Amino acid sequence: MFALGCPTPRPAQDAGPVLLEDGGLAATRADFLGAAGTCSLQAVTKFRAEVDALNAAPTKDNWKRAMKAWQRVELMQFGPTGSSSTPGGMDLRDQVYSWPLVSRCSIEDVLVSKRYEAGVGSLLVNRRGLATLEYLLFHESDDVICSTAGWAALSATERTAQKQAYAVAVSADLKVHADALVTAWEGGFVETLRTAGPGNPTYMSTGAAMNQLGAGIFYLDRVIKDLKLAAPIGLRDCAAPPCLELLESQYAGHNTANLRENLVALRQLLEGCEPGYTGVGFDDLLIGARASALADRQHELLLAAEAALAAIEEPDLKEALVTDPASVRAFYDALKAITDLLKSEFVTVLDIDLPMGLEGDND
Amino acid sequence: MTERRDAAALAVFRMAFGALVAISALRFLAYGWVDTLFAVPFRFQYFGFEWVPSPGVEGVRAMFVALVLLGVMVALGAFYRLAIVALFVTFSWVQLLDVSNYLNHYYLVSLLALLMCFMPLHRLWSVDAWLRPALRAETLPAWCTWLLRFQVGTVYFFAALAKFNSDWLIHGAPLHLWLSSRSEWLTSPEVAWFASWGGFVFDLTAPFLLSFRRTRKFAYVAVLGFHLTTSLLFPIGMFPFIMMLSTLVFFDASWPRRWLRTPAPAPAAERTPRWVLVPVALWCVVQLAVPLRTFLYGGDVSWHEQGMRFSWRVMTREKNGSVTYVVRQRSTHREWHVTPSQYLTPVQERELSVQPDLILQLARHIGAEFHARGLKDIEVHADTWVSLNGRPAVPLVDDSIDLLQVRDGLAPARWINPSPTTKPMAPALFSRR
Repeated sequence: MFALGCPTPRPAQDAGPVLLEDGGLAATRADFLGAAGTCSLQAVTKFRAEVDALNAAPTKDNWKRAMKAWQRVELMQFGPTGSSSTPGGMDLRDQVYSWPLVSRCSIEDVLVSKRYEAGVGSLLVNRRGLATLEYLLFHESDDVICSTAGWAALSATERTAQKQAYAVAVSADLKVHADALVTAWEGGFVETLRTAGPGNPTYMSTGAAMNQLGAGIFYLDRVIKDLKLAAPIGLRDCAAPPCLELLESQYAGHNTANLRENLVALRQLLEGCEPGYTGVGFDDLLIGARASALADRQHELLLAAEAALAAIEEPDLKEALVTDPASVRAFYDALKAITDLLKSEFVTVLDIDLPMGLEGDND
Repeated sequence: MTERRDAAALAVFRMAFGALVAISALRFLAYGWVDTLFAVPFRFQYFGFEWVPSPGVEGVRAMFVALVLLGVMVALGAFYRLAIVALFVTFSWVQLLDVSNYLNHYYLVSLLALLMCFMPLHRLWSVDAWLRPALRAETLPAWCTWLLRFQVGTVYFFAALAKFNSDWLIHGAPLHLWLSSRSEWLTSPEVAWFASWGGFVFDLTAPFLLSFRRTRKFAYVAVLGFHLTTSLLFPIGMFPFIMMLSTLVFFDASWPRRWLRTPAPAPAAERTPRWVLVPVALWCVVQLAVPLRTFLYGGDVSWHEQGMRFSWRVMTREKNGSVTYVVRQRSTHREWHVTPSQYLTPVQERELSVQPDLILQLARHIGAEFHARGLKDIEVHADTWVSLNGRPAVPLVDDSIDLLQVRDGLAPARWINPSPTTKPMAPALFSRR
């Protein structure tokens, strides 16, 4: 599994089908798509298990476990996990975790008005999901910034009870979405991915399915690198660095743990989802395309990013950005090196279109 | 060139051209591409055409609706003179709105429409000729046919010239990258190599083989086979159909009458004044000079892209990149990282990431925006990583250069790094798999 600060040499050959002895291609795109689908199914199944526990007992520890599981799913936003504009997509991402769309004020309005009692499924996404639950479980201070009059009228016991009731409602809503995700994946979507090509009504070519998996690259670049890191560091959208208010996980301080899980999922996609990052991953397609040097560089960059993240000693980036901002910047640079490689050489060799282009004329 | 020929072939060409423009415009409207491509917060402008105004996305939508109508009018030969001029102006205006939308076949459509403005292609088989019998003519000046053949021929010839490089002919790199991702049986390097040579030989010989009666039929079968294959394999939209129909101009002037079983008109004694040949010759010189300017820049045009546009370098390279602008304030040493996605649509960003002049344009825009925010002493650098034909990604632009100090122009750009010297990503031929 994830070996923090302890880079291991990349196995010469994964356990799954990779290369024949004569160097021929053994891991086909179908193999890879099936493996990626299985990996995604495993990730959502794990998430559902953690959400079941969270639903049974909405505690801080259960939230952390559910959040860790979700942070892996974040990199796998394809198939049912993807947006509704993509094949099979159910648009559940923001309903489970709406960050950076988070509004403390909106949550407090629901909390004080007890609108959660009618169910949270119809509330806007920034009033439910894991981010809302984080506020309810981890914001222990008794203050509110909105609905202050109504809040002041409540006793301490009533406040605690309302927070708990809201948390229970949000957890139950999360379970609905987790169940729906797993059901959709178990309903044959792994096979849909594996059989992409002519005759497959969802993905009429393997290229179309491969492009969907590029969503992970898109998320790594636009969300992890730019929003989770560049903005708080002060490299963008920040008047006076550091901009700690732009960090993910304001109340639980769970941001480095989230990043760690993001990196695990990225490596699972790129190198293989089985223990030790074996199994079929994008790297096997690179080797099959006779670009093993690129696969090696990709591996080195992944290890460098893991090492850079491990070098951040503080568990909460809120502290790290004050006491050791260079360590956070080093991690950002390490991630940028990966996205630069993925957006240039990687997509060229595998002929992947990132989810930025459109089908259209070209010459 | 000064004699007159049967007008039948060019009348069919007019119909096909108008129909293709109408279908193309309909596709744009139906697929929502007007919004995707023209609802943009930032426009990349053509050097020398910065004055072209944008009518806004609704204005562009209206222009595409107009193009459908104008295409139909041209096809029918209804109010042809007015329609073809309006079609040329509207189509070209749309194309000039944003460089990132440039496509060779759109450029070809603009050129053909401009030529047709000077050709009386409505004299036969048209609404105009039906309404005004005095207009009707069975023959047209031969220079019309020759000029259209020349224009279509240059596309093939320069497309072949663009393929005359080691990446294409020795390594078969672009086609290997494209084909191997499409089907397992296309992963063989030999397939890519033979396809590369096939494409090169086809492009080089097509205009000549189409020009001779004895080889024309075989050449046209090859044209159909080639373009239908590329249409199936690659998302190149209308281009194959434009070329398949445009190459009909190589057939003899009376070919439609054989299908209709009507006799060809008697040879006309009337001649075109010889002075007409002067602008025709000038047009040809310009059409040769513009693509040839590419070679004045030296280096690998697929890398530096200077002289890339308007040169018929059709699908000759696979190139992807990543761009981050690094804005530095000299007085405070503060640094910002600006991603193109903050200003561009995904389509624009993809084009920008591999085209230096677009990178420069956005750098200047970012600089102006920072200035407007009161940050005066800033520099804008570009951190670019680009992979050409699968080579290891290297910086496209010299990141030590402050792009705000660079002047855009037609001179060779010193701020673009030399092309990489490594080999492209292509396996050795006939190696054991």
